[in-house]
Amino acid sequence: MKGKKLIYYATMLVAALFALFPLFWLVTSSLKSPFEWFARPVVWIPAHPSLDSYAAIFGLPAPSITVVGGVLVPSFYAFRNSLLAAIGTTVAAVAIGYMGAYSISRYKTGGAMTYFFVLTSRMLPPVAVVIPLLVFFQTLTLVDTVEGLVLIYLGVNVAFVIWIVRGFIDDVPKEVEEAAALDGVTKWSIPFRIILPLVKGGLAASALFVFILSWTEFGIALILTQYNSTTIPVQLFKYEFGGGPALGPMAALSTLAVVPVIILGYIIQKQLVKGLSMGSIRGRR
Amino acid sequence: MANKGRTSWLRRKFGFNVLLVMPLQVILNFVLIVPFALAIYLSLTDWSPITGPWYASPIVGAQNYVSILTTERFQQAIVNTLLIVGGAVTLEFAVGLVLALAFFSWDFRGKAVFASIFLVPMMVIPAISGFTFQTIFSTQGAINDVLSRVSGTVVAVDWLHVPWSALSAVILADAWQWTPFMFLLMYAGMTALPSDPIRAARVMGASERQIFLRIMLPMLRPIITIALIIRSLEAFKIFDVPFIMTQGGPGTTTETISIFLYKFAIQFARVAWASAGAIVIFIAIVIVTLWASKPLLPKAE
Repeated sequence: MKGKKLIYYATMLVAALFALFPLFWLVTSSLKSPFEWFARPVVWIPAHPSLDSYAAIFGLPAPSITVVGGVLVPSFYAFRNSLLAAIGTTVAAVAIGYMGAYSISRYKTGGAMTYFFVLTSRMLPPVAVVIPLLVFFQTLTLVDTVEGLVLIYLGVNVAFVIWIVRGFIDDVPKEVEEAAALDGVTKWSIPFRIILPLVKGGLAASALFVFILSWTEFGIALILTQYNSTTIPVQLFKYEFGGGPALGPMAALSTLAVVPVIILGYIIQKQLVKGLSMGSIRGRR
Repeated sequence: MANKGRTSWLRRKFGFNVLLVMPLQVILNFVLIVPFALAIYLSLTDWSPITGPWYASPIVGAQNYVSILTTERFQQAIVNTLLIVGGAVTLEFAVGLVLALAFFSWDFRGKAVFASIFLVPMMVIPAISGFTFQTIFSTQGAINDVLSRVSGTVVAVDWLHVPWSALSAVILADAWQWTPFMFLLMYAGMTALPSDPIRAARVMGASERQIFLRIMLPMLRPIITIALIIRSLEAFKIFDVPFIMTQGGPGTTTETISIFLYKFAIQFARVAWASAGAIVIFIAIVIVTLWASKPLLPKAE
């Protein structure tokens, strides 16, 4: 019995190690001084952790990195742009997606094909839509703006909200609406005043999912943002200028981009797990 | 009821349910349908941003389609993408399923903690996991260091510049990120199974292995299908990870369809030609998905 337990824990620990190792690598890299970045043998844990990489990405004085001659663009704007794009997309996607999901779930609007049509939006390689969108956005002067990014992210990610939230709405018994209608709640306010509070968990899960997807999107942003609306993932590779990659600052920016999402994910983990599994267990009905 | 006389034109024209779907429809039209239509048009011209306004470009017919389908590099990109999708999704599914089964049938403490840890990779930005794995597999990276320490000699392989290992590294990076998704869906599927058949089989003396293969697996089939379809669809579009790790190299060995389209449409400005490629791929995906995804479609009522 004891041997068995040992195997259980050993397996889980190995899996956990695999899951966490790249993050360990990322975080320690961000704390290394320039001479440790590419050192052989590898410096696994920097002897004198330095916050210079973090200072450097925000344009603060970073003695050890300035010495190497790193050319760094301050990244405050990248954070702002990513945050605006992610929040804008999330709010709009959840609002639009919820209304759509309600209509599809309760009224079967458009029949089975609406749902499939929504899912096709996830089948298009984003790069494929962006080429014509670039033409189209030039006319509308949306190239290199956060608004333009939000519009595209919305179209590309709203399907996730439908996919997750629809399962939750399907699960609310019809009687709830019938009772509400008897109490005199109009059909206009049923989805917002009665059903919405009941599917909060699904909305939270889909919101987090859309947030992550748009906070981190790379391909579209790479094409559509040249200067004004650079987001974090695009900014990351601007550090490659100035004679080779600036490993420390890249790792620092990555750490700052990833940690809040992990914390957010941990906070609403329950809803996330339920949301994703609902989407796939119920989604097929 | 009181304001019935003043009901707006919009409300009279469309039902409540249609109004609710309308914003969704508008945004999908704006971001997907219109650009897609434009892409079809462009694919029939020989337009490139250098040649002037797109609407002034003459229509040349299907020649872009013929040309791209016979281009070896395009075929190579399709093969590479299929290799990555096949490798990564298989790995994700196998590990995710085994881990979920261990979680489901083993009795140990700290499941909640382990589950939280296992979900972490899913929260990491793909671009950043690409960057992290690039540094791990680089000449001065962790893999070489561990191999050096274990073997006692200096190992300095440039993993990302050897075709087979570059492809494997890309697969591994994607698998690292998305195995948690498979784990999560499989585990959720297992906990949602009715427990009676399993208990009955155990009473009748079935082995754990028989229970898994003969009872659980068949009952899990719908959720497995959905998980595989979703992951394959998403992996098929893979761009960030290989683009950052290898830029499609060495040569074109890790050049996926998305990277191919990006390079030709944006870097080489062959927009019309690349649009034809994008449309071919989209049609192929829709056909394959329609064929494979009966369980994804809600049953007609």
